[in-house]
Amino acid sequence: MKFIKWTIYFFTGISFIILLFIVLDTFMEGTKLFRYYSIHDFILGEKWHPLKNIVGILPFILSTLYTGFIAVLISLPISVFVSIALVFYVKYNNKLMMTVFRTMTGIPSVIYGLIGFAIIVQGFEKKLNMTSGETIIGGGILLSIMVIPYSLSAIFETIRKLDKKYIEISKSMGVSKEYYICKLILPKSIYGIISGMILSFGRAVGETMAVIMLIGNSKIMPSLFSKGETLSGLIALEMGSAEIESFHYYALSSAGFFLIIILISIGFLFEYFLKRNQVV
Amino acid sequence: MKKIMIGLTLLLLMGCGKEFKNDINFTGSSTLAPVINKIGEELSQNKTWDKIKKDLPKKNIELNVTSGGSGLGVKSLIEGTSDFGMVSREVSESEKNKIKDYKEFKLGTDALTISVNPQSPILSLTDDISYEQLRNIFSGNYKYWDDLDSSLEHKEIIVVTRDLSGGAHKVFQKIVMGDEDVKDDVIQAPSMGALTQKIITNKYTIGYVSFGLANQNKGKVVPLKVNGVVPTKENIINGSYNISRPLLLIASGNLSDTETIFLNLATSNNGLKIVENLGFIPGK
Repeated sequence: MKFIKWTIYFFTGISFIILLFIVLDTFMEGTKLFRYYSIHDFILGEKWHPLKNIVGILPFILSTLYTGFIAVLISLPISVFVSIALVFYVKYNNKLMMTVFRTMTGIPSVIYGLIGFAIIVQGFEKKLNMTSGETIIGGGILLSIMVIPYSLSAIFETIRKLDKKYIEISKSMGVSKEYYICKLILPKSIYGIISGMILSFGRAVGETMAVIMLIGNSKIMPSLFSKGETLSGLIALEMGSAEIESFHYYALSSAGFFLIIILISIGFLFEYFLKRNQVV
Repeated sequence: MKKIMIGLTLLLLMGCGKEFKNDINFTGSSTLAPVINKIGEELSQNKTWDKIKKDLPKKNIELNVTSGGSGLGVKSLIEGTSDFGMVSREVSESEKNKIKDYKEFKLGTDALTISVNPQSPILSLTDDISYEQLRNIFSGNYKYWDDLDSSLEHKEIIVVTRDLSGGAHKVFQKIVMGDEDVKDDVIQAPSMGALTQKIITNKYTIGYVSFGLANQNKGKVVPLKVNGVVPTKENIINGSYNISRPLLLIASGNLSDTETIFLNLATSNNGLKIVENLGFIPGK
């Protein structure tokens, strides 16, 4: 019916317009600061004192990148191994396991934060004898658990499809299961793995609530076992008290803008890497 | 097709005309949020507005409380996104000017205690601390507990604050720190509750736990005397303990019937008792 077609176009159009507005608004609000503050000082500055008009987001960029990379580093191998296990070794109960993993995405981040505080922060204090257990690596560990489902779905689907495609051929050639997995499935699934990596990195970098509960939120240059503050944490903690259209507000908008830039950059970086190696 | 068009038009028209607003929205201080929640609980026991005042419609009583800091409370009134703002600091003149027809209602007073863990190193020495020592600790001049006094452990002093641009910290900065900056290395807790939790779970911490929460967690946090003054209700009221802040509900313009009802309950004896039960100092 023509009416249904029209309705679909209408809602697609609205969704597109909303997305366009978000991107445009972020860009416009995010670049207003640079009319009177140098981009160089903003990105490479190490001090964040908005009430004194000194804003540098280098500590936050580093904290965001460190936690994001740690999260992906831990969660990606787990996703790959779990996918292989589910497709090749635990054939029954496939769907149930995936449902369990997908449920992890439904758990509110505050709950993850509370658990992280109780287990990771206090674990570091008691077992590693640290004076305060808030660390970048702790944040990364918690995030890795939260983002497993995101890369798991993508990688699992990829491996399952590849298996369907090649199982008959490899059986007829008589290769062992391990050989089949290592030499055929894994190399061919690299594109799915990269997609999973980008998805989970994006999720890790955007996660706010859980991280601010266990990373200390200190505005210092971070290291693996120090406290830190992510870009998303910075915005969440300070947006409420920044007066609209003040210097502070524009600085925070620009911080958000750079968060998105980081995400897009990582995405493009990997696409470029894939094309260059002609894997696609 | 025709039926759908008529349906949509009716839907649009339903939005017009004066609708009774059965919900009240509060935004702001995470310290005040539990107080408003509790008062709201008592109000909600009546279930519908007509049970309180007969000429109001029979609609459910709904109260929405959002934390986010005192700054957000002020901001929400400026932008018109909330009915009441919850603020746990003084509202500045410039902020008052930005709010149309500014109205302020004081529910009580809170103070910021300087609290440590019951097993804190400092307690083996003294239960008193001076402004000078606080400035040194919070600014990072004293990094380890033995900087404060050589008999204490050589362990880092873990300083816990609220977010540095928020209401609670502004009070502390103004009264204790003055012009001196707090060090970059502090733990910024996302709420007063989280701040208290950090003090409870780590024995090397020091932080400004709100008076109300310190009372709720007696035995788990130990408030220190400041310049010899014990943080008690009397000392806060008479001003000798002066790290204190007002607990305010702020509004813009005239209050609706439902808002007036809430405010009357909040400032009544029942409301004041709730404020007191949560550990704060009720009333003006």
